[in-house]
Amino acid sequence: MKREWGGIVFSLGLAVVLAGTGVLLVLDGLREPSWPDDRRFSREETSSRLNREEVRMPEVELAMATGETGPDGQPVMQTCAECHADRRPNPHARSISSKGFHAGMDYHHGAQSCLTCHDMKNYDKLHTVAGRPLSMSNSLKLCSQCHVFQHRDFVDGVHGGMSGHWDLTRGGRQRQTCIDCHDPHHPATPPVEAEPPPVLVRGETEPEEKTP
Amino acid sequence: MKPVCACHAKPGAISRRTALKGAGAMLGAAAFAKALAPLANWAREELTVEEFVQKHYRELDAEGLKQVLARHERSALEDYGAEVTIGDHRPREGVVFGYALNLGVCIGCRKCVEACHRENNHDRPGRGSYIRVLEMEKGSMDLEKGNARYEGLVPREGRFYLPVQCHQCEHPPCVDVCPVEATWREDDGIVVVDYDWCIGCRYCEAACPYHARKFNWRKPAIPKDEINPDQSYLGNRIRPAGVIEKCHFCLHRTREGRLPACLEACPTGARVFGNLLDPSSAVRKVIDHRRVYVLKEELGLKPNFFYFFD
Ligand code: HEC
Ligand code: HEC
Ligand code: HEC
Ligand code: HEC
Repeated sequence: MKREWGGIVFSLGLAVVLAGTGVLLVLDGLREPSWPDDRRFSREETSSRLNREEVRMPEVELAMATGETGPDGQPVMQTCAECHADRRPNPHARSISSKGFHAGMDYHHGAQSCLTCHDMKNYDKLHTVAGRPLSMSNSLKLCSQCHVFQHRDFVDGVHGGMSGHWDLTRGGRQRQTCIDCHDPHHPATPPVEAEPPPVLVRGETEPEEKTP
Repeated sequence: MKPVCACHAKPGAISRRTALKGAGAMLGAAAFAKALAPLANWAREELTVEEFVQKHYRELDAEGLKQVLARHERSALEDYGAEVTIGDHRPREGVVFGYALNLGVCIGCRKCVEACHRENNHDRPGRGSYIRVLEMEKGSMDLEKGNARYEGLVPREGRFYLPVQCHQCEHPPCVDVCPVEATWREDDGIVVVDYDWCIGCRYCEAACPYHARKFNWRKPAIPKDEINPDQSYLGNRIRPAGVIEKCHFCLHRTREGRLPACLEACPTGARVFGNLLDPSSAVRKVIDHRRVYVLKEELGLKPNFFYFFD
């Protein structure tokens, strides 16, 4: 009788101890690891000075080989304005003939004539819709007059991408200009070869084949 | 040589199972679960005593952390011959990161996939990356129907391209299922993995509705001169085999104010990144002024990754 009771008390005691240990273990596991002192956030100083956002200015080569060879055996080079000085501007030109001087250029930009953008008073320049001359490098301004939504997005950082810093307090940012991505004469993006697809490694299953 | 059990372990190395026999009673439930991980014993290489007793990342003090980082830098040198710097990049107060992607201009070129592959020290033969690009039928937004294996010239007629990476959810189901708290959401919204604490149980991988988590089946093979030496503990440091990894919004860059590698690599400018708490940021311009889409919105996970069409 006595021994039985002793056994029951012992078993109960053991059960309580085990359960207690179990609870402690579980509680320990559930405890959120805590951050010591100041490791939670970055302690780097913030500055109020903003770095610059720079848009690339393209350098446009104005000199072109005329196709003739000079007395020194070198190809003769002329700028746009030099050669066009003796030519009567053609305000109706909307395409490039396959035999003309500018043959080989691909043109497909709406129904616009060449002189919508190029300045017939000075072929080294572009011009605004209002007729004021623009440097050949300032195509950003040229394009933005007609494509106001893309320009707004570009200014907001939502069209045209960027590199450098999202946070201008910590560094500058570089932007490409419209003609880095769009050929002004054929602005639609041409198809490109995709980088190779992923390969499956041992044990991996195709995510699409998994039941979600 | 990977020992399959403790009795084959090299001297000085200790498997979680051996350690458990002696020290089991002193360890918390988390460590207990960690020791029982089914895959840890074969996929992960054996741990040294130092590694085994390492505290949880969040509980390390400055000195302890320094030692851990130094140890990982040493092993990068020993295993890969590469001199790397492993930093501890922490969030800033007042910053929550958001990403928006313009599906109207994405052409599916996979330049982002490639940039991630290089930036984040992924296994070269496995072509690992945290981004998958799905080729989708126009009109469908069901990512289970996307094709990730397309090749050749893009974009194709009648298709659009949906790049998918970790959505850094506000209510991440992957975090909830982790039995050992090896993954959590940080104050800037980035969901991180402590590769030293992960036991490779893959519950989180199954829990992610975007299939954005990946199991590291083998130790990454990367030629020495291709290793990105600019690394972070919770970010792009070279992961051991047998742990889970995922996109961390390039925290080694973004927490220093820089843009993520995938964004810089995008030739179309489809990717927009920034601080959701700053109303003048590019990403807020998208969210405030556009109609934005969230994948599998009905799940209520509140991702910080948004899609829009021009
Ligand atoms: C060596 C002479 C030569 C040079 C240099 C030259 N062009 Fe031309 N350009 C022509 C000729 C000839 C045509 C007539 C169409 C053709 O032959 O393609 C023409 C046509 C044009 C047109 C169509 C409108 C019109 O008036 O016919 C534009 C615009 C134009 N050129 C722009 C330029 C620009 C910009 C440059 C400099 C980068 C340039 N050209 C350099 C000879 C030249
Ligand atoms: C939408 C505005 C626009 C229209 C329309 C346009 N151009 Fe241009 N063109 C530019 C800009 C901007 C540049 C300078 C940037 C560059 O070199 O790509 C340029 C450069 C050129 C050049 C020199 C560089 C090169 O690409 O060879 C030639 C030649 C030229 N244009 C000819 C023409 C002709 C011919 C037409 C009509 C068929 C035409 N352009 C229509 C904007 C335009
Ligand atoms: C004078 C007005 C005008 C200017 C200046 C202009 N564009 Fe355009 N652009 C148009 C029009 C109109 C269309 C529409 C063409 C169509 O729908 O076929 C167009 C179409 C485009 C497209 C869409 C092409 C496609 O097929 O998807 C792009 C991209 C573009 N322009 C870029 C530019 C760039 C870059 C510049 C500056 C170099 C520029 N545009 C300058 C009027 C302009
Ligand atoms: C980083 C490359 C990049 C830059 C820089 C860029 N664009 Fe684009 N843009 C694209 C891509 C990609 C598309 C979508 C594909 C397409 O329609 O060609 C696009 C589309 C467009 C379209 C056609 C939109 C439509 O709905 O069809 C216009 C217009 C345009 N861009 C104008 C501009 C202007 C203006 C600038 C300069 C302020 C600019 N882009 C700068 C890459 C760029």
